Order: sequence, then C-alpha cells, then structure tokens
Amino acid sequence: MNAFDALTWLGHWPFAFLAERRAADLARHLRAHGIARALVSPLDAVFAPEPGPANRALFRAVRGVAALEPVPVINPALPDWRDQLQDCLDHAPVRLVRVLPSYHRVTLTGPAMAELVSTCRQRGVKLAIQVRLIDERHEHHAVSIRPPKVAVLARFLDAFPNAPVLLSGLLRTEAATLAAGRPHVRVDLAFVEWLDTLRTTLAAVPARQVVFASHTPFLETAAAPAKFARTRITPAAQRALLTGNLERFLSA
Amino acid sequence: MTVLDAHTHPHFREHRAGRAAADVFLREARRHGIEHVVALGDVLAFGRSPNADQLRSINDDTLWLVKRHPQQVTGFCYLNPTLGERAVWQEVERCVAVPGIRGLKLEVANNARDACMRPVMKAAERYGLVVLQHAWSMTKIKQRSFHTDPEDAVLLARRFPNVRVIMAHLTGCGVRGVLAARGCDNLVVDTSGAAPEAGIVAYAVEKLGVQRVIYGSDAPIRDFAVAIARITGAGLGRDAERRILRDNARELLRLP
Ligand SMILES: [Zn+2]
Repeated sequence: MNAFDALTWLGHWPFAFLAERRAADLARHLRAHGIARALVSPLDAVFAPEPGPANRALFRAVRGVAALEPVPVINPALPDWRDQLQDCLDHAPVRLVRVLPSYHRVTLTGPAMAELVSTCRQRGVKLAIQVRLIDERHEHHAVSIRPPKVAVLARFLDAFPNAPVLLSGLLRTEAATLAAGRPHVRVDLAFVEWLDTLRTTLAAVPARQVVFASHTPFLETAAAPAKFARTRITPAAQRALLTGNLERFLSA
Repeated sequence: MTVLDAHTHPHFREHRAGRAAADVFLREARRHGIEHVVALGDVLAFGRSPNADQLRSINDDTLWLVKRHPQQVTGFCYLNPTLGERAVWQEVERCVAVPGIRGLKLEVANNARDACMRPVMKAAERYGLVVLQHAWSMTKIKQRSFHTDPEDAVLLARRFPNVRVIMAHLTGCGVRGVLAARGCDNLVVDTSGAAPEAGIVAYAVEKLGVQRVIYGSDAPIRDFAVAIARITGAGLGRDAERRILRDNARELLRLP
C-alpha cells in the first residue's frame, strides 16, 4: 500500500493506555500496516510549558529513521514562538509545523496566528492545525478542552486564502464544510468516517484536498488502511489520497 | 471469516433514500463479509422521545426489512419506555409476531435506571428478547437525566438477571464502563462508538473475557471496514476474533 501518513505521534499521553514506541518501532509498526512514511509530532509538547524540549527530543529520536519526518509543535500563544520556530528550522529540515489551538489556547483569528502564517509562507513551511486529538466527549473529567468552532476555523481559513493549511482531526461533516470552496485547505482522514468513508468524503470534498492519516497511537492503526480495503473510489484517487496529495502539499 | 454485526441502522434519515437504501446497505455489509446484521431502526428520526405513531413507523421499517431478508437480518423493536406500560407491551407484541424480531432497542428517551424500564424488561423476559441499551459515559456529556451512563446500563442488567443485555458503544463507555461491567454476566458490550480508539477492545477482552465482547459497527454512521479493523487490529488472535465477530452474537441471539 505504501501510504504516506499525515498524522502520527511519539511520546507519552497521560489519559489513555496508548502504545509508547521508540521511533524505529513506530516505523516498523506503521510498515506492518502498509504505511511506508509518516509525519510524526511530539506528544510531550501538548502539555509541556513550552514545546522546545519535546521538539528537540523528537528531532533526536527520528534521526536515522528515514520513514519518519518530524513535524514540530509551535505554540503561538507563548511570547517566544518566533524562537521556537527558528530553533526547529535550525535543527532539522522542517516542511510542516503543527499548532494545537484548543490545548494551547491559541486565538486562531489573533495577531500571533496572522504573523505565524506569514512567517511560515516566507520560510516555505506549511501549517497544520490540530483541531482535535481525541473525541471531546472522552476528555478526562478534570480538564475542559473543546475543539475550535467550525465558524472560527472558517474565519481563520478565509483570512489567509493563499496560505496552505492542513486541518487535522476533523469529523466528516466538519471536513466537508471547511474544505469545500477552499482549495488552499487539506483535510486528513483520521476522524472522518461513514459507510464507505472515502466515497462519502469525495462526494463532498475534492479528492486533491484529502490526505491519509492514521493518528497512531491514539487510533487503531489498522483502521486507517481499512478505509481503502473495499472502497469504491478509483485506484487513481486512492493513490492520490494515500501518498500524492500529501507529498504535493508539503513540497509545493 | 463470516461476520455478524450486532449494531446497525440500515434505515437512516441522512440517506433520504427510503426503504430502498436498506437494500444497498445490506449489499455493502455482504461485501465486507457480514452475513447477518441486527437492525435497530432509525431511532433518532423523530428526536429522542418519539410518540407511539412515530415509534410504529420506525419499527415498520425494521419489520419490512426482516420480512424481506429473513436470513440476513435480525430486527430489534425500538421502544420509548416513557410512553407507559400499555404502550410498551402493545408495541412489543406487535413486533414479536414477526419472526426474526429477537430484541428490544432503547436509546435516549430515558435513563436505563428509571422505573419506566420495568415493563420493558418484563416483556423481554416474557418473550426471551435481548435488550440493547444505548450507553455512553456521562462524565462530559452531562445528560444523565435521560442519557444512560454505562453504570446505569449495568444497574439495569443487575436488576433483571434473567434478561440478556447488550450495553452499546464500548468506546463511548470507556475504561470506567468496562470496569463497571465486571461480574455482570448477563451483560455484554458491543464494540461500536466513536472513532476506533486504540486499546479499548483489548482492554475489554482482558477485563470481561472474550465471551462478553461482541462486534457492532453502528453503520452507516461508521465504516464496516473500520469497525472490523478495531477487532482484527487489536492483536487478539484468530479464536478471539471469531468469537467477537460472530460466535458470541450468534449464541446471544440464538440464531440457527
Ligand atoms: Zn447505534
């Protein structure tokens, strides 16, 4: 299958019994599910005071593991976000950075995001917005975390119609709403599901905007390739979703 | 491996294609190796607390499908317990007259711990029906006045130990729901609910035993292939997979 996975993680997550793998083990695990390459982000950046140490640990962990491409986390709600970004660009060939608005209280329509978007464009780096990490109904009782509202995401996307953005962790209807009519937007398939997920999705979203994602280790890795196993979409569309779309997005 | 899906909604308002959509749905199931489905009806078609007429129209769709595909479909009669004892018995008796109706489906009209569940469970006992109770952790949802938490589903099963209960939505019930279900031998949990969160199926098997976990998809809300991958991707081994994907439900429903 040789998929290119837009969403995987390394590190520790306190709220569930998730597999904690070393980078080489993650690559092997993905390979066993037909995933040849993957973008990987550091879980330890989610609740850390600032993401720098987790990003640097990620760069160290994936060095020498060709299948894993590091995607650092940037927290634009902190005053040092420009340094965070520069630090990442100094350490590794970064093509994509990930922002977690609900976990980091980032105002998507605020000035820091506007500046981050334009800096990314100048530096040739793409931006991923992690809309949700887990189903918000299943968050720990001691925390209160909700994904950004669709209307807020739409306002953010419409403010930067030329900035390529990958939206990660959208539900099916959110993906349809946010991708339609916004060719600069890509959506990943991690949380998208319906009877024949792919055919249903492509009825609402242009195929070039959709990318494969397993969201390992949060979701069962086998579930992501399963969406392709008996789908009725064309082989060419399958190839685009599995590899081509993400590669084109990152290298454009 | 042939598969029996214990949680499906072949009629679903979002398809807007009427009864014909159910035939397409069943063909899709067959393509995934699913030879038999439990059809639960389009339970939220009229909101969370349908009146007697609305309930009948939902169940009429299920009865039609069961008559049309007796080999491939088991029907569950959908009930609104808040309509009262007489209404419950009337609708159960109307539905069980059709062969292939093997269970009762409860959604979110009331909480499973409410007194109005008593006639439902008495009817289940009388006709040997399985009761499938929607359940989800209410820790975050905060609707427990009418929405059943896994602990409420377990309480229901313990109050009526002669009735076989399916607690729906393992993923929504989570670790706390699995732990609540321990030692409650007349209750099994179906594997549907939310995204295919890693580890929860293996956890349920470890804590409850493989015989108390049954495959359910919640299709068309979910993708059959993803729902099956939750089981086959859990690293349980072929024997356990066969029990979850087919044998447990076949025994529970007493299928030939
Ligand atoms: Zn359901």
